[in-house]
Amino acid sequence: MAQIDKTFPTMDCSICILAPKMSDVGHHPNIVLLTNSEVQEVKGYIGNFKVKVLKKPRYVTDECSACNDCTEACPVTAPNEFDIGLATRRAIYTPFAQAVPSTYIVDRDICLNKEGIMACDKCIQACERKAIDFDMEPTTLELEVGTIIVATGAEVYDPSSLTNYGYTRYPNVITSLEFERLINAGGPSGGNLIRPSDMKIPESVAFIQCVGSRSEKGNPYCSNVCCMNTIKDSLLIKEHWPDVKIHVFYVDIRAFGKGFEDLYTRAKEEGAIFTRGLPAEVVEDKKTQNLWLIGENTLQKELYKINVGMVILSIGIQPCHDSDTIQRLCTLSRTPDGFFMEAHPKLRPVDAPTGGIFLAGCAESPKDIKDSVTQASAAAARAGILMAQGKVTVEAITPKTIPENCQLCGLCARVCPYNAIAVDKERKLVEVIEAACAGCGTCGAECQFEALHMRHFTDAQIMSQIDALTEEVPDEKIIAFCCNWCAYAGADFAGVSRMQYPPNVRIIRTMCSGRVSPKFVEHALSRGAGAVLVAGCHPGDCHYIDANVQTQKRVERLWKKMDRLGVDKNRLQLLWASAAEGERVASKVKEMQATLEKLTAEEVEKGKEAFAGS
Amino acid sequence: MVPRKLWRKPLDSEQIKLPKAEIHIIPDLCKGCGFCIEFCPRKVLEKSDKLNKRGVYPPKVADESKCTLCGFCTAICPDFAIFTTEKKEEASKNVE
Repeated sequence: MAQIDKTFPTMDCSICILAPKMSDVGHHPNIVLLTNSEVQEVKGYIGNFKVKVLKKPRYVTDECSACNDCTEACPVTAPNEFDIGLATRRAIYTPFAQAVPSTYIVDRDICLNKEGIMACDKCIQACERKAIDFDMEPTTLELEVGTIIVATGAEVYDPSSLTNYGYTRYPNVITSLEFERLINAGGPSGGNLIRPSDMKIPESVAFIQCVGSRSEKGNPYCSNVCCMNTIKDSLLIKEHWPDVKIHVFYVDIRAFGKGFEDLYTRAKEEGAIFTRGLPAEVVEDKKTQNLWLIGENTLQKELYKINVGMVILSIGIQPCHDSDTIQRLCTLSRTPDGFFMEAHPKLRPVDAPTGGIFLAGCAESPKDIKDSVTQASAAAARAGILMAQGKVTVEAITPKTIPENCQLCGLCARVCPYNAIAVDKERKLVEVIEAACAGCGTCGAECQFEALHMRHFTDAQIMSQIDALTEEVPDEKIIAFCCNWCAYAGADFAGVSRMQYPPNVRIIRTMCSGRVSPKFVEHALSRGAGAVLVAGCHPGDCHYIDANVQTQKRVERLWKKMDRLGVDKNRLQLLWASAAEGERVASKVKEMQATLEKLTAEEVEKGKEAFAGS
Repeated sequence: MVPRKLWRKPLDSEQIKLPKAEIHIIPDLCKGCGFCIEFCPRKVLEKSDKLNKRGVYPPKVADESKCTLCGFCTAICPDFAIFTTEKKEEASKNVE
């Protein structure tokens, strides 16, 4: 946000809103701000997290008064990342004037002082307060925290791979983020919108929308903010240089928020020309370094060829490149887009699937400043509820260990998506951390020794259900194990939607398909059940992070076993169905009914014999 | 910060004037230890191919423009055979 000049739809100055907040955080007695640090390990569970943080050295102590004397003395220059390389910084620097903490930092990658060799001491000589210390070492902090909010933000799309727009080939093709730095009064051009090729203000500019968003070449999703950002940018240009002609090429203008449509209308009134249809190609005029945009106006069904002085690519937002590290550290899950997934998209939009962890901002999905603040406030409040209570209420579906049966193999701990099982081999103890457990039952299905008692979904309960359902004409029945969230709800949806499917399916509900132990399937077959269906959420959509991965592994193992024992493996089916896919459930049952009708008495007998005693 | 390749030439690259260095080597004082060549953080120096009076190869300047005037060569030279000065004409064109 600090890189942006103005914010939509109110056009207030970005740094004017942000800087006081950043400074408040820096000075708040109850907030410890750790910059230039890396989370290395997150252990524990809701209310009792132990976090290991590596604090990297800045080589400048808190004595620094940010007077800039060291920077002036430093002989090494590099492009400033904050200005996307449009300005220079030194090896000792601060990214921007309002950065918090205001303490400077030394970039040891470019500094002349390499490990063990102090070649240059210009900054040390220049520093009156003796705040520069090249002997600083990285330190590891161990923090004990109750809740964690993941607000790691996002990155912008790199348009250099879209060769038809010529970014990095033509100097006058810039990104919207570079534009923000150019139009910012504190930026590298002092607020003048200049063409990088000749430093002159262009007579006309073109914005190209959806660069890297909503396309097969870039990211498939809408980046949410680029339309309004362009509208804001075009108004900014019109405010400073009313004579500059503005073209906006778009697919759809998505001005959906409060005050957005007004801003869009204003931009049109100010004279920005909106054309539907992205240019197919941007070509540079070698003499003037102006750019030709060639494409089709899809509203008027005619081709256009427009000459402009500068092209601004409205680039999209994408997940941080190190999201998988954060995902691994905090046991989060991600949507196919790569953003972190919330526990429930409607009812728990700021909770992560792991208890005590919350999400805020663009780490969860692309969003504007207002939405980020809304979500962050919600996350803080959700965390506050837990912290104020000091305890959590868990559903009574957590497992209980039976120490007599336990062989300490640790399989249960390995499959637990929440790391809620601790195996202490020394004390010969398996401990279920109930606060962290969500009750999926994957551990119970994995345990070979009946050492885990899954409350309310016990082995005995499920076995009795199988027994009851296979009491009469078992060979005509399909025993279906459905997970509570997707498959069971999907079957329910098929019912309430009055979809017709064979009535001989018998459903056993479990919290997760991961609860379905191979022995349940084997028991059903040994009782002569015609067919067995295991159904759960789509991979990646599991309500217990990734417990259904275990489901798939177990079913695949069972298929192999059935093959080996000569049992028709078509009798066991695996289905991924969401709560809205009643049709999918119905058609699967119909398909299984067809196999059931072909089933011979010998085949049923074979199954009974093969799995006798299970 | 976004780990993207920064490909543009900074707009202010013309305005930033770092002091230009002049490197002075007194070849006959050099005993050829090679410290200056080895430890120069910018690799400005290299071995020359001409023997000096002491029968060793003194350093020679490979690329003077890379020198940042850090003065480490002067500090490290055991024989006071190398020193750097700031080029005068550049200093007069001081830009804030």
